[in-house]
Amino acid sequence: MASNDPTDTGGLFIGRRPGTAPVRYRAVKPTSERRRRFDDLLAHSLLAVELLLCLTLFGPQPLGWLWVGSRVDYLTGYVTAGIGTIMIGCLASLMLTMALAKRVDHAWKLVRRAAGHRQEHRALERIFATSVGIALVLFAVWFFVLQGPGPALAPGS
Amino acid sequence: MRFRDYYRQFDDIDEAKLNLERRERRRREKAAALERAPDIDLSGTEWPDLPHSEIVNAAIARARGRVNGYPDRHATAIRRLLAERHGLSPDQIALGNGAAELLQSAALALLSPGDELVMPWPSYPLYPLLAAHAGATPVSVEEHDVAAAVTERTRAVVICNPNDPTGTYTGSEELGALLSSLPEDVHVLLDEALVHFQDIEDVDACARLVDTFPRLLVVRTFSKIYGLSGLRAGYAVGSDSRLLAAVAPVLGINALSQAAVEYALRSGDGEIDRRRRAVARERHVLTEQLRELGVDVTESQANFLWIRLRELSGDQLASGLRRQGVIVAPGGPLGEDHHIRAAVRDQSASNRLLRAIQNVL
Repeated sequence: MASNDPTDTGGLFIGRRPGTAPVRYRAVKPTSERRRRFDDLLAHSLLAVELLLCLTLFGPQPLGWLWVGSRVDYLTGYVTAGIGTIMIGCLASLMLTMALAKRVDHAWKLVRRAAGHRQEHRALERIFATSVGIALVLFAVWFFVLQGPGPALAPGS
Repeated sequence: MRFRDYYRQFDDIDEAKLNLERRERRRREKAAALERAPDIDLSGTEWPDLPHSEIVNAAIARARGRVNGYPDRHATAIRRLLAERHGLSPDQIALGNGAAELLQSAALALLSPGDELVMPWPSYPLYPLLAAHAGATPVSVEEHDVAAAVTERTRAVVICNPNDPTGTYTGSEELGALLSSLPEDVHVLLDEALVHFQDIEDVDACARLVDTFPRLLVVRTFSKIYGLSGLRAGYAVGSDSRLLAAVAPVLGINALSQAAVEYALRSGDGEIDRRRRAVARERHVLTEQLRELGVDVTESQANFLWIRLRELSGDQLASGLRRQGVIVAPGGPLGEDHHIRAAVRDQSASNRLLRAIQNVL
C-alpha cells in the first residue's frame, strides 16, 4: 500500500492511483555484452515457449481431451462420462497451462531485465491475444480452404 | 551465484517491503538529527527572541503609510510616554538611534582634545572609542577608584550599570555619593542599557538622580530587554537641556522605529516584566550551579554571567566550550583575559552551558 505519511514524503501529502507505482528492482551491476546477448536470446526463446503453450489451448489440448473423452465413452458406455471428462479435462489443462505460462512469462520479464531492458509489464496478455489470432487464422484456413464448410465456398472439395 | 539466483535479482521489490525499508531509514535519519544539537550562541547580550508580531506590525503599518514625509523629529508621543513612566518632564528626554549613538554624541559634545574620559574597567568596549572619536583620552580604572581617578582634565565619567561584561550594579546611593564627590565640570554618562535586568532596586532609582544632579545623563536602549536591536532606538534622560539637545539626532529617529517603540511602550510592560523575572530567576539558579562546580562567577545583575574557570584563559575556556557547541564571548576583547561572558537564557541553555563547563573541567 502506498504510503502518504508526510514523514516519508518530505512533508507533502501525496498519493497515486493503485497499481501505478513505478516498478523497482534491485540495482545489479552491469553484466558483459556477451551475457546480455545470451539473455536477449533466452528471452526470445521464453516468449516462443509462452506462445506455443498458449497455442496448445486452441488445438492440441482440446483434441487430446476429445480423444480421451471418446476412450472414456467407449470404455464406460456412458456419453455423459466422456463429455464430462472432456469438459473437466479441458478446464484443468487450461488452468495448468495458464499457470505454467505465467511462470514462463515472469521468467521472461526477469531475463529481459537481465538483458538490459527496463521491462515493467508482463507479456502474457499480448501473447495470449496473439495466440488467439493465430488460432483463428489457422482455423479459418482449415475451415474454409482445407476442409471447407460446403460447395458454395469451396466447390472443389 | 546459481543460474536462477542471478535472474531473481531482477525481480520486483515488494512495495510494502520497500516502505518498511524507507521508514527504517527515515527513523535512523531522525534519530541522528535529534542527536545533533545545534550550536547555542550565548555570546551576545541582546534579547534572543523575535519581537512580538504586533510590534513588528506597528512598524510595517507605518512603513505602508506616509513614509515619504519626515517623521516627528521630537518623537512627541514616545517622549510623553517615557516621561509618564519615569515621572519626568518630556523636555528631560531625548530619543536617539540607540544608546551607543547617544553616548557618542554626548562624548563629542562634552569632550575636547586633551580631555579625559574616566571609566571603570573592564566595561563596554565602546567607551574607549567614544573618547578616541572625540580626541580625548580614555582613562580606565578599577571599579571603585573612579572618584580618585578624576583630574582637572577629566570632563566626563562613563559608567555602565549594570556593567557589561561583569554584570555588577552600582546602586543609586553609591552613584549619588559619586556624583556629589565629582567636580562641577565633570559629567556622568550612565549607560543603563541593561538596567531592566537588575533586581536590587527600582528600575528608575538611578534615573531619578537627574533632578538632583544636572550633570548626570542617563542613557537607555530598546535593544536589550525590548528586543528591538535592529531598529536602533534609545533615549537619554537628563536635566541639562543643552546636552540633551546636543545628543538628539537633528531630524529625530526614523518613523518605523518610532512606531514600534511607541507600541512596545504602550503594550509591552507585561512582557518586559515577565522577561525581567525569567532572567533574574535563571541567573540566580545558574550562578548557584556554576559555583557548586567550583566556577568563579561574579554577582551579576545583567542578562549574562562573567565567568572565570581556574587558570584557564578566556580564549581557552571559550574554545573548549565552542568545541561542545556552546558559543560564549571570550573576555580578552571585553577587557579581561581570564574571563568569559555567557548570556543567561532559559533552563535548557543553562543546562547546555553547565554540561559543557563540566566537560571542560
